[in-house]
Amino acid sequence: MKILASYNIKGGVGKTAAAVNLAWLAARQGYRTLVWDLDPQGAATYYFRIRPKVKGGGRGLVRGKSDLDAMIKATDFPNLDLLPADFSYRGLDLFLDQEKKPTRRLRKLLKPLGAHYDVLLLDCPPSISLVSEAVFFAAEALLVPVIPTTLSLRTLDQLYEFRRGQQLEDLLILPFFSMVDRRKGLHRQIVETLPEQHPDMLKTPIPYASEVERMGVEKAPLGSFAGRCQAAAAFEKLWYDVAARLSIENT
Amino acid sequence: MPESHYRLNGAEENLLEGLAQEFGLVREADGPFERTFFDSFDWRLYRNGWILSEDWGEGQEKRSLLQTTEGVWVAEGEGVPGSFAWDFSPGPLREALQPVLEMRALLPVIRLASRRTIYRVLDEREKTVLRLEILHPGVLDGDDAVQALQPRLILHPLKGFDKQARQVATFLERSCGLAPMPSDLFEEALAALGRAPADYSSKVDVVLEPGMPTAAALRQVLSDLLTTLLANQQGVEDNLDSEFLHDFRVAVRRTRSALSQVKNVFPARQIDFFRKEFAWLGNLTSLARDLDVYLLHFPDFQARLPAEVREDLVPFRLFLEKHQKIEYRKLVQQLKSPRFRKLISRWSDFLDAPGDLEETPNGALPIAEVAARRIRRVYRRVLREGAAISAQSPPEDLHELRKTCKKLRYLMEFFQSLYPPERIGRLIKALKGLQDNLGAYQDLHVQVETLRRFSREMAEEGDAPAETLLALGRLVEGLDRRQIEVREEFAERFSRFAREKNQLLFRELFKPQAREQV
Repeated sequence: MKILASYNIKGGVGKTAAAVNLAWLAARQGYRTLVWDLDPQGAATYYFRIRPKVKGGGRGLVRGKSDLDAMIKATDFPNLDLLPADFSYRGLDLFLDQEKKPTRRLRKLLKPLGAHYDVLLLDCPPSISLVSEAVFFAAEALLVPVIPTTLSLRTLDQLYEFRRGQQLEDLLILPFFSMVDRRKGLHRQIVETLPEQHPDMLKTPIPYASEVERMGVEKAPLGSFAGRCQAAAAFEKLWYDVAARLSIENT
Repeated sequence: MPESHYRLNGAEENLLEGLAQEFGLVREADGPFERTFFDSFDWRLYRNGWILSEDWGEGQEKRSLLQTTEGVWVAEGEGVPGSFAWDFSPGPLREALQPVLEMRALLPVIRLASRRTIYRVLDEREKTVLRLEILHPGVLDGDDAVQALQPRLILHPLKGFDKQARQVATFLERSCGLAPMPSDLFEEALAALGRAPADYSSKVDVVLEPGMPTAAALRQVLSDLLTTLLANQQGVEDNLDSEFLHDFRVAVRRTRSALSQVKNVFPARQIDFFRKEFAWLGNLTSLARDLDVYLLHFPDFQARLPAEVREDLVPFRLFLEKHQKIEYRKLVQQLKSPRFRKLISRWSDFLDAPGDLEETPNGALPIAEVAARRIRRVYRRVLREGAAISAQSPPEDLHELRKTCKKLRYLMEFFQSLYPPERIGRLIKALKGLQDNLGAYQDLHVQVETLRRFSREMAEEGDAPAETLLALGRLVEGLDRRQIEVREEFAERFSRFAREKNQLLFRELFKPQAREQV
């Protein structure tokens, strides 16, 4: 099972859209895919029309008291399941802190899911916290949406520093441009120049598009209602980039 | 919760109205629906416990699903894009299929042409909590005529929504009076066409009685081989994959072996014609098979070379493909010739004609006696030839031993049903271990020779870039080294085959019959 996390220190950068759309693409390709909506806001859960409620809450999950598999819900799409958000996830930091080796806890919890899933996508809450540290420890790669602005670039640098500080060299950081507005000169300039400094960067930028915003109205992944639009095509290319980078063919 | 099927007997409108009053119901799809079940000619997927189907419905792309025969999901992906596992795009479906199918082509086994409507049952968030499918299935027979199967309602539950699925199931059974039915459409469709799964195997499959006259037993074995040969003819003519010709050839070789190994059973004047003609048929297929083998080995040949020169070998593949096509064309012409047709019709007439048991020394003897005597003799020859091989023996000696082993193997397989399966199975397995070593050695030996010949021919035909010839040269060197390694393994393999435990079992199983001892 390949574990990926959609993550950025900053919020509102297209993190959930990336998690939901990439998961949908993985599932369509035939990979058994699970999204865990770790964000107490529950946007991914909302996109799949599932009730943001987990029996026993975040505390039960972290303690290992609740059976993770029994909380999983099928989405409307084949091969694509969801572990829903729960409002109690806002206390996840605290629950983790009460465990031994809190940063390793998540990895241990996820292990049994490997029997049922090929790809696991964690949709993480923004900010750096104990939860995100646990995610860094569990995941093979972080997918980091970056809006081409100076401020976003600073947070990306912070992330690299954090990885160095935590000695997590095995963790792949895969940034990609998100919500790119070609009409803006600064966006164009950054999209053209930044990849030279960051060879890890995924090659496909995701454009700013009204179709992506419509996901909230349709309550569905982009490809399922606007599969031919430019943004959907970009997500598809991005997914193939990610799959190639992680040699997902061999899972 | 697994999917469940319910028998439908008309009155669908009432049923749907009833459902719609109780549950939120939305129609998702409606129209023609096609499902094709695929497998290799020798049922590799089914024998592995799998079923591969490709679905296509109105407004949908083709999807393939690989599941166990019990219906458990194995892998899924886009439709079946070609004949071979390597035609699939990278993904879990290709990963799963590749090691099971190997070089065999996927062929459509059953085609269903149906009408279906799918409804989604929604909860208050308009989330789908299960799907209901109304299916009027039909199976296409050989003339593409549709034969209707039992209409049904299929309930597809979704993970995490068991409660809702149970509610709907209870409603269907209690309020609508629907009766559950078996969910295996594949076997149902096969049965409707009078077929059963795994109805082809290249193995000799006859059940003999120890007291049967040898002539009758041998006829039965030979008839089985003829059936195999004919079953593969169409696949050879259409060049669907390399194994049709392989199985065809093995059937010819076994036939020839049966005729020459079990002597004095049929009158010589009758047999001479067949022996001559089957020898002709065997030779006819050799060149095409050689080219098949080199094409199958090609990826391995390429992998043996350093990465930077692998591409240099590509013109060699083109050369092989060109000649393979030519040889198949020649072969297919011969399979349509009067000479081949005459052989087959005379041969099947001969096999169908009973009698003439008394005319020959062995024809009327019990098969158990003749088989044991013959196996004993060939077994002793294997031991003798094997023991005589030293580190200095020429390759020809190993080749001779390999041929003797093959004779022994065929005999044991022909008459397998006369012996306890577990015990003869053990001996066949021991023999196979030795044969694998001898086969690998001989193949490498021939490959080195043949690759040299191909290089010469390529140069003569003028489509050989210098780099390709160099790459072939390096390949030959590598194969030479491998041949030495394989040769060194022989002594150990042979002593394992000839160990006392096996010798005792051989003697015990094929001991002289009571009547012989008198």
